[in-house]
Amino acid sequence: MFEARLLRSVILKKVLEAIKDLLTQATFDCDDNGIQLQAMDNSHVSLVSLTLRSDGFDKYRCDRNISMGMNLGSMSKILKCAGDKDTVTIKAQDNADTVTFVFESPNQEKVSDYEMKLMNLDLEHLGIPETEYSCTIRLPSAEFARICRDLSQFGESMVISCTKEGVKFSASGDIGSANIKLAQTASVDKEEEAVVIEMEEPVTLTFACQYLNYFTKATSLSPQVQLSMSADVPLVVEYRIPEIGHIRYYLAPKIEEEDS
Amino acid sequence: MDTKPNQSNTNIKPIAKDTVHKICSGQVVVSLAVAVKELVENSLDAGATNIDIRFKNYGIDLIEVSDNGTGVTEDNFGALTLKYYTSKLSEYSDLLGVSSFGFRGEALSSLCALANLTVTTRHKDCDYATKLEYDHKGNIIKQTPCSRQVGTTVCLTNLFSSLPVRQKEFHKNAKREFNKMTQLLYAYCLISVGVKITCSNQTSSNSKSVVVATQGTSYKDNIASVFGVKQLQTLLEIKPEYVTNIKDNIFKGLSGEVKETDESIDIEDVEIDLSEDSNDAEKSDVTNSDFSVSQKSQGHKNIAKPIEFTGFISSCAHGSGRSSTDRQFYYINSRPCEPTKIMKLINEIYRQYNSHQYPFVFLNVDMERTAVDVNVTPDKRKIFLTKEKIILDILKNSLLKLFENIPRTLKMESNVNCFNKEINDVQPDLEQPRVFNSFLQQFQNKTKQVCDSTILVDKEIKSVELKRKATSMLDFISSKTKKTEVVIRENSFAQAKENEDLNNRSFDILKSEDEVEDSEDTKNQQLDSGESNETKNTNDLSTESSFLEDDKRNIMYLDFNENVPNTQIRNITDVIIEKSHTTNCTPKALKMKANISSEIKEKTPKKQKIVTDKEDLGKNNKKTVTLKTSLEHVEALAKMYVNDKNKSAPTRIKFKSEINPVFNKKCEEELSKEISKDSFKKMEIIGQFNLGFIITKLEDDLFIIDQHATDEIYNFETLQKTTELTSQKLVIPQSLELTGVNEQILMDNLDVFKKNGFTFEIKEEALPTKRVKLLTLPMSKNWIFGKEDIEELLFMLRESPSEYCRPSRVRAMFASRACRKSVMIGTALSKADMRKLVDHMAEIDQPWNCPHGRPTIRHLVNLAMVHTKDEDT
Repeated sequence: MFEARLLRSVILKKVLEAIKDLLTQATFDCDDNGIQLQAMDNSHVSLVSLTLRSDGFDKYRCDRNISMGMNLGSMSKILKCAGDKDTVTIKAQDNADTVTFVFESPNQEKVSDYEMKLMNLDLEHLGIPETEYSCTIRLPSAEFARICRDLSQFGESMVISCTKEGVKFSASGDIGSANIKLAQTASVDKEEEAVVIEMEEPVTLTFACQYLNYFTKATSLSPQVQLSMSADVPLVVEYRIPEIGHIRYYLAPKIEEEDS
Repeated sequence: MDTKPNQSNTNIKPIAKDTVHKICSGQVVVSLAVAVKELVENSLDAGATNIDIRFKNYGIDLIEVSDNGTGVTEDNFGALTLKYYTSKLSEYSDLLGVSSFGFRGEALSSLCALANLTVTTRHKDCDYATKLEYDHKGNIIKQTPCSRQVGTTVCLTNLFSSLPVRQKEFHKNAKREFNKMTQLLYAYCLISVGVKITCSNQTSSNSKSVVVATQGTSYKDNIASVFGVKQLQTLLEIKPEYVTNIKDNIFKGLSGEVKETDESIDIEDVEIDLSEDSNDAEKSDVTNSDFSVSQKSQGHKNIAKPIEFTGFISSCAHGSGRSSTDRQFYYINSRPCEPTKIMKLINEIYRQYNSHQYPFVFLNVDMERTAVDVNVTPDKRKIFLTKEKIILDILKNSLLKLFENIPRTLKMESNVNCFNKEINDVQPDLEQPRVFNSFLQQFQNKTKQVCDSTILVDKEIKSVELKRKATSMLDFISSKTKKTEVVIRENSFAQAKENEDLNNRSFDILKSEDEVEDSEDTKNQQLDSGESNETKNTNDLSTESSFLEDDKRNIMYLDFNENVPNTQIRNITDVIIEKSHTTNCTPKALKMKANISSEIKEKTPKKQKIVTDKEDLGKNNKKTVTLKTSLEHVEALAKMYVNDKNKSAPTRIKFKSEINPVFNKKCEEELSKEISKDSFKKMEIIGQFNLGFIITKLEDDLFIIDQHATDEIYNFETLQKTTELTSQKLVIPQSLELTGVNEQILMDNLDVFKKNGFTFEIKEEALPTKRVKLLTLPMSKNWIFGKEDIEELLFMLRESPSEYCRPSRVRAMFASRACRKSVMIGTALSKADMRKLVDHMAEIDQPWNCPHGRPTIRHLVNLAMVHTKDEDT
């Protein structure tokens, strides 16, 4: 028997918004520690890793480890039926082929439950190696979303280069080129608006804007985003979901044409 | 072993032993594949459970086969490589029951003669192994003790060193020979349950790659490890269907042709039928005559030992098959072989269900060893069977049953009779189907008339007549191909037969023959109008032309032709000639003729040889008509007429084609012939039509240009030139699960893939199907390419290796992007915009069609023509 209750269903809704463009289906692995999701998009270019810790839930019970393959499109449809203030409970029997979502309105007057069929997905567990990154950049998530959106109008790929002075995002294309520079904020008045750069050596990498734009769908989950980069390894874009966990996106860099 | 007469010395002498050895060995081992096959067979015969085959540089440097079989005892060392020394049999009668692959005692001795052979072997009773080196005659040169597990290793170096020509050839085509060898090796890998076979090749760059590795646990596992799990998933297991009444079974099983024939047909007939089908006519004759007696007796009653099948075949669902017969493996009593008839049968049945593909076949037939003759060819690939027919029956039933429930993809074509087929073939060439129909209708009417007058002619002949006319008519219209001529012949033969019956009848029929001939001629005449039907007058023509008029014109035609030496009118029915002399050529007919001809003036003259079936009739002492006409005459006539009457016509008409999808190709040809790239710049812009088309003028010709299509092809070509696909790394390398062969193709063509933006991580030492992982893929905006595109590229590379392969989706991407970028229909254009669009057309390679195939430019009208027409009226 698996049961997880979350007072703020809005978190789950946002999480799903953040991944459903990238993934069509995914397996939710539930165990004592919480819910984990790890999946690559169809073309194997990016990877999503989601962790929701059990202590972040209001009630969490997982007798036996279960893996639930879900169609994210269907799941998102169901979650749209929930109000933002509703309480959501996810339930599944051991070895069941369905999962139930129960939404209760704050005043307990309305209780709706939705049952969704589970899918059998190929389990391909991807070990993500713990890497020391040469650069980590923390910046306001809204700022990052804005940068990605603006630069994607100029070209299909974006160069992120991190130096001592700051971080520079640039793109170029048919209409011209665009550069955005962010410097480390001197005074840390508001932690949420700070730009913090920790750097061991400068890194410059190119990424597909399209994917970064998918990632920024998670902006509403967290006020800050952390980018970790090292040469020749995937970029990590991490959004911390307060009190409950995090969502991490991995994106492999593009290869610069040597002969162009 | 035939003794060869020596030219220099007339005495017949025996060939020296060495020479015999060399000559015969060259026959046994003809290629790398055979050499490896012999060694693997030896290992399998020795009861090995683990066979490791190693190649260096595709076998040029080294071939090594080691096994864990029984090994060789010391007293056999000397005899091992002697010619015709074997442990498998001692008397000829043993041959019938032989179960081992080898039995002739030829393999090792032949290999000795052709290469440097080293054998390391340890028998289980022996404490140590022995390394034996042999010379080309098979004698031991050196014998040294060494260490080794129980089993045997055979090393071949310098293959074909004693045959310089073959060695050169082998070195030159080593890769190809190696591929052939793997094909043959696959057969042994698949069938060997309980034996692990590993084959690897080490190239000069010291990279070792595993070609194939099986676990040998089951047939299915073997298929999976050789061809990948994917192949296995498309396979169906063949379950034998035994049917008690074989005769019924045959009727049920065979396709249409037999079904249609008489009920009284017996098994013997069917058997012949099969043998006739077979490619290898000679061989089947032998089998049939040799074994027909036993077949008859056994066929009906006693099935002594049940014939058992184990096997797998591709599902007949669409796309499950293969594009060639490269994965078909047949075995008789687990011996890989090529039973021609069984192969043919399986492929034929499969084609009935999946007409465009060939199946994967793995089929082992288990039967009495006495009913099999394996000792036919040196490589033992050909096998004679006594119970072949029963096997075919059972097999056919099994397959039909197997495929019964799977939906067919396409209707089988074999039942369509040859007439319809021809019509189908010819139809695409036909330029105006509508006209064709009206012709058919006319013929129908005419044949009806013919039939009315000939009371004795029965209905069958009528219909055949009609059909024949229809087809021959078609043939004439598209008389460009040779094929059609053949068809005419065929038809006329068939006709001759029927006419024979006819001849035996009364004079009434003779009369009717004349009638037939009449209509024949009118038909020919119709044909002329058919040619000219590209013009618009046709409709009037075919509707107007009554029977009488046709006659008249026809006669006129003959009149003219009398002057021409080419024209041969032999034994033509007196009636017609007389008629032709008496009837006047009415001016009306003449005028029509001229009209027609003026249109075909530009056409290259085509000769038409019309040989009617009357020639065949002639052999039966009937009348013969051979008409030879030529469009040249008609043209000449027409020119005369036109020159007289219409001198003001434009000197040269460049564009004749109508705007009609059927004529697209012709239009393009015309345009590309008449319009050079500069012409676009010279074109005068008249204006925009309907917010979608630009009207331009070049000299006297008006053109209409599709604004969207034009812009689209321009954008398409520029995009193709300028866009670079960027490589996107994968976050985690994706394993592709390609087959061993595909992996090889991929590794050989890494450059091609790299140009397209695909790079791979290659682990040569990994198991086949797991060697290649995708590292980066090409990406352009929101188009991402992937596994399907790689498979498409592999397919293209296999079919036609070339440096410039691009996935079709790349084109699709450019096409769609170009489309969205282009000027839409409905957009008003200024004169400058239009000028720009038209000028762009001069800059591109293929301006005639947009990437989706719509035409960009068409000729509208020639203004000079318009003026002359005005003058006429």
